[in-house]
Amino acid sequence: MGLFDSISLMEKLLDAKWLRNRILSNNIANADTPGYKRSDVSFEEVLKKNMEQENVLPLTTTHKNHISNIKMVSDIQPRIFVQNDTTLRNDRNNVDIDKEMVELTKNTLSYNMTADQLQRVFQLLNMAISEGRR
Amino acid sequence: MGFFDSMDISASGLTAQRLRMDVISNNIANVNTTRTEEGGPYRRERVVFQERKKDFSFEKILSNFFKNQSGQGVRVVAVEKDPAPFKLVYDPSHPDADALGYVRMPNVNVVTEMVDMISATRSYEANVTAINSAKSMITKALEIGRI
Repeated sequence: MGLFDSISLMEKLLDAKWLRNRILSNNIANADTPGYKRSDVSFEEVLKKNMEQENVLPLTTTHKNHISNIKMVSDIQPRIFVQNDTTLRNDRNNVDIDKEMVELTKNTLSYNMTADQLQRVFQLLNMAISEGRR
Repeated sequence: MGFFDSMDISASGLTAQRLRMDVISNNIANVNTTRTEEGGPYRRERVVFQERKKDFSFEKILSNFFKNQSGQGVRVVAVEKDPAPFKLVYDPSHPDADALGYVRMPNVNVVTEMVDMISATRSYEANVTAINSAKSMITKALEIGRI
């Protein structure tokens, strides 16, 4: 396990949450657009599915071009999907503004939390570096 | 994926809701207008919203299919006239009354306009909240480098 594994994971998380903020903003901006269907981002689900792969018997790879059945964190991409199967109002729009606001708040808070954690990791690294200097 | 994309999206929502508010104000201001340039009483107007997409061409959509594509906010595509019939009010002393004493009044319902106005205000506020959350995220991201 490398030193920067957790950092790259958090970087991925921040990217996904930033993307989700954009998608949710778009939903809120289109709350009154007739026929608009809400979109959302799934990243945590993809990540979780990937984490559960630990029990999978890994293929041996001796070259970087070999196909592996274990996905690296850097290969996981957030997925945008459109929720086409529901309708909230007569104009076929399915944006529930309360839900969007709650999701937006949750997303912002978890973004801030991840950014805090990332900052803390950097602080620890900084401490480790400067303590050795004494 | 730009840094200020989500703010631009929310700003398009603000612009659209503000235009909607302007149209509602115009409707309310003209609730008693019986003469217009095209003749006849004032007709109620309403805005039509449409989702704003980046590019509609097939190749662009295909090449961006696996990338993170999303909408670019909202825009007003038209300000439509409400085709609902005018109200007939019996007022023989009105200068625009017909031979029977009836006046054709605008098809504006003040209560409907008020409800629309509240809805526009709330949507505007929701977009402001979205901008603020994006702002706090950007501020937080800037703090990461500060050790």
